[in-house]
Amino acid sequence: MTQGLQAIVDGILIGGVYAIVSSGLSLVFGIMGVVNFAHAEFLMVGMFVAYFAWAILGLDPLIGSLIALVVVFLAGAGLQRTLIRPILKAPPVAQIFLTVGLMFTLENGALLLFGADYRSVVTSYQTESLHLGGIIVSMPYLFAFLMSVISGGLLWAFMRYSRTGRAMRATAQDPMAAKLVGINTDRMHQIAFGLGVGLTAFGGAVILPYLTVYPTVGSQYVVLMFTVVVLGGLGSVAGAVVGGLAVGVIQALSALVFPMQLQNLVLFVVFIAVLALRPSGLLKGASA
Amino acid sequence: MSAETILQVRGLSRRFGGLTAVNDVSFDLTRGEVLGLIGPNGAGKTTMFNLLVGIHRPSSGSIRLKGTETSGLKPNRIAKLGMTKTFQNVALFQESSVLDNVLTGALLHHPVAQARDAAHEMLRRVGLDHIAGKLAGDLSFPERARVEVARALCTRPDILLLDEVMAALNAVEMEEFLALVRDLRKDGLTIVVVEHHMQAIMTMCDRILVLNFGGLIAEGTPREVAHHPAVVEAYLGKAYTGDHGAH
Amino acid sequence: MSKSAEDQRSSSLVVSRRTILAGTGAALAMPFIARQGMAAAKDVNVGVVVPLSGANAQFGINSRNAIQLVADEINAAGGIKSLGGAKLNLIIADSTSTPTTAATVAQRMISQNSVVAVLGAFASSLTLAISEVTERRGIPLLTMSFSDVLTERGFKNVFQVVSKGSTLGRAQFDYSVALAKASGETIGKVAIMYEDTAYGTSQAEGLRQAAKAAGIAVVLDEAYPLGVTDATPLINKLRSSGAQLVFPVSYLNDSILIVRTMRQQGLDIPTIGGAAGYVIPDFRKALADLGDGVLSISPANYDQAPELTERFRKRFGYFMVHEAIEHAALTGVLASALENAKSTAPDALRAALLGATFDQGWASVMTGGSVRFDETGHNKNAYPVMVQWQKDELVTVYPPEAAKGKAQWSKRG
Repeated sequence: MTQGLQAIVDGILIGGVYAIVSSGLSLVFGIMGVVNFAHAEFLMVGMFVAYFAWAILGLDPLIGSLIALVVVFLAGAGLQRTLIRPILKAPPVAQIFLTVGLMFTLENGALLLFGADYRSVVTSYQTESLHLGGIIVSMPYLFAFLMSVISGGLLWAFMRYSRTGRAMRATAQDPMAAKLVGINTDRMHQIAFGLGVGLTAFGGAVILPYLTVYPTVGSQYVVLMFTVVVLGGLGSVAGAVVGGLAVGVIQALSALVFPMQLQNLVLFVVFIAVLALRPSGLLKGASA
Repeated sequence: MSAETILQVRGLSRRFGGLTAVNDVSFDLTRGEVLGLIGPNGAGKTTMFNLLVGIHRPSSGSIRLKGTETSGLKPNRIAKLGMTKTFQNVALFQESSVLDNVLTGALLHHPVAQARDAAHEMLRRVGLDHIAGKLAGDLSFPERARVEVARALCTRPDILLLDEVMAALNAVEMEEFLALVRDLRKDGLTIVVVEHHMQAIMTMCDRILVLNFGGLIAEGTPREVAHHPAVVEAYLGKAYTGDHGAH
Repeated sequence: MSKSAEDQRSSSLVVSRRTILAGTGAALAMPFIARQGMAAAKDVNVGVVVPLSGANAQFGINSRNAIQLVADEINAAGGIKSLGGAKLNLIIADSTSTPTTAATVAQRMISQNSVVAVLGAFASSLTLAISEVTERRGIPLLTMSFSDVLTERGFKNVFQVVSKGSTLGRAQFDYSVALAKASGETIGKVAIMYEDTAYGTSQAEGLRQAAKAAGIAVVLDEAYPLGVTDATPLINKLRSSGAQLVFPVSYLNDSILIVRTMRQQGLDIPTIGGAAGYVIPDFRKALADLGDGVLSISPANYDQAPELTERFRKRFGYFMVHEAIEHAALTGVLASALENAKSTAPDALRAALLGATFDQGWASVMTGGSVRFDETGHNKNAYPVMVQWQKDELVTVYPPEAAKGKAQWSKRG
């Protein structure tokens, strides 16, 4: 019983991070219709930004995550303008080539710059945990979760209430109609891509206190991110949240019953079952 | 009605490959007038609209909106300058509420809070406030058409292009709509309509342009146009008495 | 053991793009057989094949550094005197992480550079591939790879300087039980956690057998996927298993996650790593004080011959890691054998390698203080040691004859 509860708590804590990391991917797909295979690499970039903010400036990764968000947002907006925009109207195969190429470039660029070493940070709360009854709540996981919840809430409010958020949702739903009410859809695409990769980088930064960063860390997340996004419903940020929590809890519970090795097997069985029963994801119809 | 020329179109052409969809068309719009654009299917009416709002780029010619050259500008820039259109097939933000749809239009000139007020006011004006909370995707076609007009009006255009908006309306709704148009004219709105519904066109328009094969073949009051030999031949195929359009 | 782990690493990340990359890397690397300078007529060419690119590059670089250091010292001291002061001329090549590439570059240096022996190639799978080439050409292959198979196939030209993988696994278990006993604790329940690669699986098998032989219960026996991003479920299981100590068999990334998560959950049972990620400077760098007290088995340690290994630290700025120690010993042994053989002929060299106990200079840096190859080519004087992180240093704590410090068993272990 305690073990089950513990697994659910662990699953929710890590699922919150999956949610924020995946919502960036969902945002980019939802608003631009581009499947960004390079997306997980921005998680790696965010981790490196937070790592160097810690190593050079002595900033905690939780603060470094804001730097990661801003830096990667700007980089993403720049990338969108130079690389992604020209292929928005191109056939899907061109988009695949471009984003896969970008993935290679980022990963190998990081290898070239930083080497294949594993790097990690040292923080004061790294080994702290809360003991609630028999349940252990690990502080770095809790902080990462809280940061994800806060940023997820801000994203939701931004998309729902702000002028830009409304314009982005309009762009996602009907770009031509959006233009005719005066929305600069090119700008919206640029913001969406920047925000999408920025959020994923932010997610990477907040998990740095309990993980290590290395140039290929993105590849550990890429399948997971796509699973979360498809599970929740492609293009839906709310879906990414539900999908993220679901994936976290499924992983934690399955590890309780099955060997760790089968963790992802269980996940994919659930994934296939969901796709078979609800092809458009757990939350269908919920927009951005 | 003032005599201000709000739109000046000169030598406007658009070619798609070998096809000339719009061929050397020139006309003026005066502020506050209602202009009808008619012609057989494929005459170039929708292309003309798309050129005016910037969806297509002109191959040649010039469009001046309130003195500003707009050919080559993006639709959002032109919308901001004061000209927008509705779509023949109606293009709403399907997954948003009616209010949010209209509000999105109002954002062009208002911050979010005022845009909300403006949207509510517009919905009341067009008689849609009772469905403000409904999802756009769940509406009937006539409702959607009216929401789209409301959304376009919320961008506070000087010129509104309506692409077959009346096709979706029943007799009662059409009466309401014509009343709305009259109302809007009082505010100084300039309207261009593409419409197949002859009676409505003849009733509401001050002036009519007739397009055929991309070219302007006639221009004048509804009565003049109805009796124009070229129009009768090209568009109506047989003599049109004009009685239906006369008051 | 750790060797096969490293090459498992690259091959088990079975994303196809990675395979493509590896292939491309191999193709690119082949022409880059670096020469140490033009060999004078009388110099002795020695082949060095280690991974200098890819995931194992750091280990290859450590190995190359050590070989370079020893060769420089020998050359500075007058070279091989029985060969008229011939200098050791290193022919260094990148094995990459691909066995076929490793074999190809070894083949090429034998044909084109007439190397008298080959040193390499860190990872067992690479070494196995090279051994096919060297055996065919009758050239001695000197290695520190762990795999038992290397010296159990009846090959005449393989010389393995370290304890075999199975020996390491058994020692990891037996030493731990002995250390516990010395501090008054009787071990009844242990846990094994390992990455599901060939390296992890084989070492886990060794631990399992040792537990069976000792009549000790394995209360948790859990494989996990390589490159796990969350060790929490694993540690939850460990906590509820009631194990008195844990044997994690993992590489650096996983070892950091495991140790850190244990500390978070306040789980202080002794942790005894299986070399690999547990005995490198990065482990300390990543975990800082959290790593204090973590134990590991190791085939060699730098505190056994500090007067030698400190020269490495002085030149390269980090402590002499075990693969560096072993490659240095091999280079020292090779120089002595050449001295004794008075010839570079393969048969004479092989006979010299088999014919003596090497206990001079760098040959004495291995555990046991000397190297003596048995007829299979295995160094029978080698034995594993238990090392423990005490502040920034790895201290040998077991067996007693090698211990340089006292094991801190109760302190997290």
